[in-house]
Amino acid sequence: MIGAPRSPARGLVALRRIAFPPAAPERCELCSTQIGEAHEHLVDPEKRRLVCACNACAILFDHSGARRFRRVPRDTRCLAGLQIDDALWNSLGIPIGLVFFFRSSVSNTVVAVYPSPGGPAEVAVEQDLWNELAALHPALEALADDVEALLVNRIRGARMYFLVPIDQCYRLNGVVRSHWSGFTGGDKLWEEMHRFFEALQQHAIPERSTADA
Amino acid sequence: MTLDAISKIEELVQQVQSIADPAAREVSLELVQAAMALHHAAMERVLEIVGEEAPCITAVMGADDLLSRVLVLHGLHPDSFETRLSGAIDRLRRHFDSRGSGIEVLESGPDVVRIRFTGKRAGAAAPARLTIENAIYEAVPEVGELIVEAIAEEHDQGFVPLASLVASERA
Repeated sequence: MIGAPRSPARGLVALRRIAFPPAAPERCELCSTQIGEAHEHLVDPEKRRLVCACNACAILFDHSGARRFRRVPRDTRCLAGLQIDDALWNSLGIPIGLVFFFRSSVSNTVVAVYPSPGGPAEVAVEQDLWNELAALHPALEALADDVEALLVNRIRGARMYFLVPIDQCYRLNGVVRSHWSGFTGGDKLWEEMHRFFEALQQHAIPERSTADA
Repeated sequence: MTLDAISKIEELVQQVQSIADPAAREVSLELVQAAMALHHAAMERVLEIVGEEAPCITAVMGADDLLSRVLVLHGLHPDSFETRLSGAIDRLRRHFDSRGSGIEVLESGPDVVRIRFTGKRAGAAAPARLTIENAIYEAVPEVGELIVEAIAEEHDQGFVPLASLVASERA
């Protein structure tokens, strides 16, 4: 109908369409299949980069030995039985109570990564110290190279330990990056951290009783 | 934000989209997106604070004409799509009932809302379409598609008399 009057509220529709264009659907970075929000991740240990993948491609990299990518597991476990005493903790020399540890197959060392004013800082953990730490919990001795991490939250008196897929650590880095302010992070960051760990705890698989200390 | 102001926005959006120079068009769109994103974040924060400090205010905000339009625009309205849509449909039914006509809802999902206007009076279809579109777009501007059907009456034949067209434009 040419010249038909248009409803004024169409302005809302028009503004909405240009202001919030629909996000392009995510695609598998290996085969370009469209994937949903809850998709698999692979890690490139060499470049320390996450790759989004469809299920079919992810399965190809299960237990991959010498391949370029490794499949990131999905489960988070709360290590409620793990207790790290202050003496051991202090000997690790991590200046902050928020850190994750993973074993890199590239450098063949355990690496600790923690937030700092200049972005994520990382140090290699002495093998003896890691062995001492890993002896405290069977899950740590079985920590998978590159794809799993021990995530530690000892902020403000907390003592929380999780066995997490490495992509959760990347996500944590993202939260820290977008909320860090000043030299010590700022209150907003610690609120966000609190929220992050609450969500993590909710989705975590509770520890089996055999692992209780 | 009155309806006039919202109506003006549609014109402006069309003008921006028809800027011939692609760089100028792109930067205009980016400006709109950046300004909207800023307000979106601020409004989200407002809702967060209000939700924590005085949750009852959230509903009051959602019921306010102006705030409701802006909240739906940003996808932050406290009521769900279904609640907002059924509220708009109830209001339309009451409106048309009192005029001896009516509506039928044929589809009511987020992808498609399809409404049939059943009017007896000649020339009623065009202004009714406008009323329906306005009510639906105000309540659920995120709807994928809105289809308004009108049954052509014997005297109407789907033909819009000029008088009703002019009248509704001035309304």
